[in-house]
Amino acid sequence: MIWAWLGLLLAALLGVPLFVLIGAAAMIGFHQLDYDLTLVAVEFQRLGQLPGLEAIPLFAFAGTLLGQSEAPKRLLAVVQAWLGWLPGGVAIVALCVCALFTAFTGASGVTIVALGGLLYPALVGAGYSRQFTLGLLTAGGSLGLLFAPSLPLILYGFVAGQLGTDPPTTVEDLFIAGIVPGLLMVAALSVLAVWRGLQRPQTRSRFELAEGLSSLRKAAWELPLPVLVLSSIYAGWVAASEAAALTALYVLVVLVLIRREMKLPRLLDAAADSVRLIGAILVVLGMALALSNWLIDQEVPSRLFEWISARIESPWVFLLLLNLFLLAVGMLLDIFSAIVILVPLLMPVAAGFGIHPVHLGIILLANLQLGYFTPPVGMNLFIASYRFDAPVTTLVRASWPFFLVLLGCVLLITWWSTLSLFAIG
Amino acid sequence: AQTLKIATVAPEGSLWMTEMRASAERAEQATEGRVKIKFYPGGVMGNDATVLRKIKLGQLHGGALTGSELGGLSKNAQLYGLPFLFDDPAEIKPIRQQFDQYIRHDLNKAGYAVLSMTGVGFAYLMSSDDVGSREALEGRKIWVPQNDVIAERTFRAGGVSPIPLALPDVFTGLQTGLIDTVANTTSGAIALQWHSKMRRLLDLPLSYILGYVVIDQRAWNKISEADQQATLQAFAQGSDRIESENRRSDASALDALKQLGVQVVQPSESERDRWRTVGREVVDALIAESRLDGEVIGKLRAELQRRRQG
Amino acid sequence: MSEQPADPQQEKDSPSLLHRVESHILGAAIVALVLLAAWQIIRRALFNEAWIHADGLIRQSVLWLAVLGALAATGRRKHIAIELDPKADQRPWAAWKSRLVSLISAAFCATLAWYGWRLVELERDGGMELLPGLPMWCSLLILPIGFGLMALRFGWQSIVAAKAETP
Ligand code: NA
Ligand code: NA
Repeated sequence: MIWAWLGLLLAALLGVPLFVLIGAAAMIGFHQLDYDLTLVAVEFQRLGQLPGLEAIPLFAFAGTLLGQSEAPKRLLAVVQAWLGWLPGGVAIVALCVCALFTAFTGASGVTIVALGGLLYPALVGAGYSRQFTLGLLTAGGSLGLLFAPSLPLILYGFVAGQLGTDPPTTVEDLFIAGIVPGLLMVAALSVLAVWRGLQRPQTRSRFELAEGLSSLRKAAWELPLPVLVLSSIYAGWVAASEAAALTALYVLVVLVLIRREMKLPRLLDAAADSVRLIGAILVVLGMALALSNWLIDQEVPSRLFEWISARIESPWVFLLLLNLFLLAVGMLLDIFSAIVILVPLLMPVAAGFGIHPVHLGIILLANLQLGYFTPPVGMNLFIASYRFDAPVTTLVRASWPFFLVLLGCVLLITWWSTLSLFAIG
Repeated sequence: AQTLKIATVAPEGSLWMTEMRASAERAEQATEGRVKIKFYPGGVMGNDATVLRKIKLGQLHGGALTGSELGGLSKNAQLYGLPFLFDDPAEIKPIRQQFDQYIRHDLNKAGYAVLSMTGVGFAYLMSSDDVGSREALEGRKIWVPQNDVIAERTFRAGGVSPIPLALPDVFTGLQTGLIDTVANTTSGAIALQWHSKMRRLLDLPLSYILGYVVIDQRAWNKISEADQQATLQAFAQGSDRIESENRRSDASALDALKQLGVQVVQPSESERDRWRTVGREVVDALIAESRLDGEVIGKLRAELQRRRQG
Repeated sequence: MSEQPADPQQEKDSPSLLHRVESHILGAAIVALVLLAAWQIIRRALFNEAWIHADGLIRQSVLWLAVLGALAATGRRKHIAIELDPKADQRPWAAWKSRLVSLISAAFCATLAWYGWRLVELERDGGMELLPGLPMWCSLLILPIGFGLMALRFGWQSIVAAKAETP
């Protein structure tokens, strides 16, 4: 069996597609346990069962259509007219859009797929380097996980609620507790963006009202989209998970029927482009389900955690090891399995050290957010690599300043519980 | 030693999981370690369809599933869950003593041994608005689980709009008003944190929720008869404890709801009759489509009739 | 310097008939998904109505799009991969390496197609329904067919070398 693993390593060095590597790893793993390998196909077909996964194709479709239309130019004109004077203004807008988007989609790489085609030209057009732009979008891909109504936050509330914690954990408390840590992350990345913006003063422009108004008029069909989607959710017309369908429909209607920028053949071509993008990402995700299942079957996360928890003396060491452990798990498991498996393991140990269950939830999600783009196997690194046609190594280089800034935030959130808890009873 | 790997969607720490783990420990002790049981809680092994596929492939040996999830394997698995079958929660106990055997028989035929059948409790309609009359119900938007055809048909026939949503959308759906009515046990509603929006509870048992633990017979038959009996006994004990604890927690959950201002609405006799008729007609249609077992349901109805008159 | 993102889909090689037909099928498939999902929302918002099977169908279509999209991505040699050597394209052995990579991928896809077929057989023996009257195994056929075609495509690519890529 060692030969199979060596062969896999060799295939990895050759640059074999990621889905082949992950799928083959799962097959070898299951074969070693003498399991029927049909299990790999069973895991893959779960792509057709996961609630909310349809958001990936729907947002990818909407994002590709917008990206291939004239919409990015119109939106860039708006941002530059209104925020061109502010160093880092465009980047701050991009970060806020990313955070808002993730709060509603639950961060499964959707943000990069859907918004990449819009935000990349906007940031490069505003004078940011390709490197900085790639880093910002990769990091932005999971920013916003701590803001309501993010699904991982709700799931944590439910799982922890079942454990009968003292004090009890409610979803409402988590929604409140996530606000300041989430804002801290957005603010810290904004500072980085402003600092970069100040290094390029020549790209700054003066604000002119006439230009500002005309840019708004030109983008009059695109700008209301987020407001329309959010108000439809809050008015109870659509479920949060249907935001993707509503967005796709709106984009289709605006570009094809109202603006008439896309004739049928071009529409089908753009749509087909989005399906290739979806396929390349989901086929990796499907194989990752199989590999995750092998880890779960063999109880790897629980064993790893037991090993760690046997080596803890103080809450500080616990929190430090917790950070490392969660980063590792965040790279390997999907976020929903991670929450369901880890929370029951962590809760009693955390309670022993007097860590508030709501604070633990914020720590957990902040770490998993970072795990999305932790080198070398954070999923968003691969998605960004594909979306922007850049080698993964480039993306790792591009995103490390963002990683370090967010790592600082995560440590601060972990060790300074007041940030999360000051507003709850 | 035979290790049985069992998947469930019940989360760790829930009453169900705690008692199941205790039952597994009793079984392991009683069989001196010859029967070991490993749980995969929280739905990490996938949904019901996937769990059943993994059982066929031998990765898993069993699953803790609800009656509607086993509906594809057995026509009688949903027997007690049929809509508006029972008038009074007290009716269930004697009926189960008589009719559990039909369900076990059905599941055995499908290749599964039944480790336990555990009553979770009665589901009631709960709403943020009035549900006491037909007119009031016409304006309500009730959540139904995606693919739950029986619930969907029942509410449609009863004049309420069924809104299919995935479970994770229910919480936010209640907050935003996308739905305003749910059906669940009172303690289930509190566990899922749906209660903060609730104002009314319709005092009419909607359906009896039953949780099964089924084991693949290929794995089960590797266990000696004596060890099988010891394991069954350990789980029956756990089942009893869950049922009595559930009755207690449903009662205390009802008190908690009342304290939060939830009003218990008594439906009029004609409204009760209307719902019963709706339930019967939907079930009859499903029998005609041979999705349910008409013979056993006929016996059950006759028995209920006999007891109500006697 | 172009303002457009380096979008992998923008560089279009001379589209053969096969690729054109494939593109149109893919495009129609995703537009159909959008319309189905939108129809469910609109019906509910305007008429308080919903089709109980729509969500199951929408979810299943994600599996279909995943496999069809991956098949199309194979045709364009556009899968997510980690290339450790930044100058890999310029090495003298690049063409042979690419053939070997395709061969390994073809073997994997063929294996998965076989196990996909096993899953279809498993499901035919007492499985579930996707829609009333439509058994689930019909939908799962996408696994053996999709990965089978992917194996053929990778196999073909291990015989004919990639066209020289323009930077
Ligand atoms: Na984000
Ligand atoms: Na992850």
